Amino acid sequence: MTTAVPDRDSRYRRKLLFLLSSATFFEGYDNFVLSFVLALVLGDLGGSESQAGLIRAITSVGTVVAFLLAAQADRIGRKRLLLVTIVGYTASGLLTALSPNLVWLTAAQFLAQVFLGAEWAVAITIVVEDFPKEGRGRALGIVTSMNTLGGIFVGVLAFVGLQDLTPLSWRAFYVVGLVPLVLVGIGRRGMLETERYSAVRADPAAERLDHTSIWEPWKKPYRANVLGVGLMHFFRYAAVSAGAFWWAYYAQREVGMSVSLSGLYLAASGVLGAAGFIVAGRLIDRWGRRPTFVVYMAGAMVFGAWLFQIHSQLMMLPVLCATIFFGLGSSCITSAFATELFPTYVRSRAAAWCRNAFEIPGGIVGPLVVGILGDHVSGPIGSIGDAMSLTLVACIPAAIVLCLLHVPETRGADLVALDEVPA
Amino acid sequence: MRPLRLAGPAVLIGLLALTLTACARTDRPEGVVERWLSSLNQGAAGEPGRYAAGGVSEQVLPGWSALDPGELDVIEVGLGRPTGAAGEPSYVVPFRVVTSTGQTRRLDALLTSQEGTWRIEALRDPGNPPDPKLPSEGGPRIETAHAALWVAAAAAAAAFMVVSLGLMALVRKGSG
Repeated sequence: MTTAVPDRDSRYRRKLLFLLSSATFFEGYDNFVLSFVLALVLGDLGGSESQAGLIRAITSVGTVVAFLLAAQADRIGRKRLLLVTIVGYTASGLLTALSPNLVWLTAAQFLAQVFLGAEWAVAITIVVEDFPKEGRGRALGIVTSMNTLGGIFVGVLAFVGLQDLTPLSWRAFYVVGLVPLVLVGIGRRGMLETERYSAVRADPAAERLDHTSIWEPWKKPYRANVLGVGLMHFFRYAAVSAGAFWWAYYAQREVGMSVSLSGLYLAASGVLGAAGFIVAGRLIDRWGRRPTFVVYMAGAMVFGAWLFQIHSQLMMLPVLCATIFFGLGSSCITSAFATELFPTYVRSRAAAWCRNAFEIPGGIVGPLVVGILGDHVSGPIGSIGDAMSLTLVACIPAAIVLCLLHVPETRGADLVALDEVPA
Repeated sequence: MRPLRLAGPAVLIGLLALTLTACARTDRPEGVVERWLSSLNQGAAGEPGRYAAGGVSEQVLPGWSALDPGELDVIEVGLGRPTGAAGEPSYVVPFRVVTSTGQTRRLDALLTSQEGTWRIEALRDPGNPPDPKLPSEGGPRIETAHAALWVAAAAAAAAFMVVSLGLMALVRKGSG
């Protein structure tokens, strides 16, 4: 398989980047909406806190189920799956806005998570396959940063009082989520299948490769990379998601910050911290993936552990900015590892394994463990701040060691050469 | 297969550390006061009656049962201390709330343990100077991670590393 990759028009790439960024922006948006409007939802549709917890648990399972959908990108193509997921989660958002009761809302949000989970994996795969190797990291940084900005956008809409501006109340947030459908309408005509995917599918030698089995990434040539990158995803995200989940609670209950001030801190540091994605994107092109990952993880551990020991509201803001910069910004680097190590015919499934089978469970386990250990009444540690700092110290070294010892450097990886081996 | 040989002891150390931390006090009256204030902040839906009588809740947030959720903007609970005679467990826990209108209430909650469950029986004004103090008044935090916990976290980190490296060694061996 020696098909050369012709240069694509830079204008096309800018347009593609806009479409992919819009998709990840609304993925971040949708992930945050429910927690922001939960009180309004329970007031409108009726429900208790325990039912709200059940809704969150059921919808989270959708992200794991998304694995099955994400894996289809190797079979039906990246472009088609991206469009399917965008249309799918927009429709799920519409169904959520129309919810007459909590059961309907839970089902609609479960579906939304299935589509959102798959959309992220395929968007990252498209970036890796359609951008030149010298600019791949930068593009990854932009696309992944949009996820955080989407989450911040929810806070901005809540701050300006979207819920009070129309009679729709909380449903208005889900109506805003219909915007991606408009973008798909505009962007889909000019969007092409990725060059690598087209080249591999057109190659007769690739016909004997298995494009459908979800177990293909666990075959001998790939399984060590899937496990190494997957475990790295797990440990990183267990710590990072726990920090993201518990910070506001820590600030309000253990530092004595007001709800409004903690919200303001989160929005401000989220915007500044989003620069972490962009800087990481540039550094992984310049320094390489592995050194950048080690620096980012070390930064996340030091600033994160410090953040959850701070009791000065003044000190909180700069340390929160630094923690978000390193902690969330590192997702751009793991995204590169999850895709660039694998040949095109199996790339999307490998990325789906790393994210949906390792990272998402890490995101469930991390906050759960911190909550159990730090419970103010019954937790063995009894402080969310201490439980969080200790979790960071326990989880992040494993991610660093795995990266140093078992994950190959992929800076400048030649995807064409990578495809020659299996074929 | 060195990492695999180390995995067993490392996991044991991690489990031992977790067991030690689990032996810590796990019936904190401070947590009960915090839950009461959080439930009070949810209005009637929060069912603060689980922790204190309605009259006690009225002293913190008058008319709480008819208020919308989110009336309290700040909830701060400090480290309490035991009071009363032996055999009659009771506790005093300092707390402070700030309402959405900016009103601050600084009180001490008096708790008694009934069948192993802490319940807020009454509120009192803090002394001058207040005792016990809130963290924002220079008092201690509810809990502070002592050295043993940091060692336990380091042991858990070592265990995670060794188990991960062991798994990687197994997979690489299987892959030839």
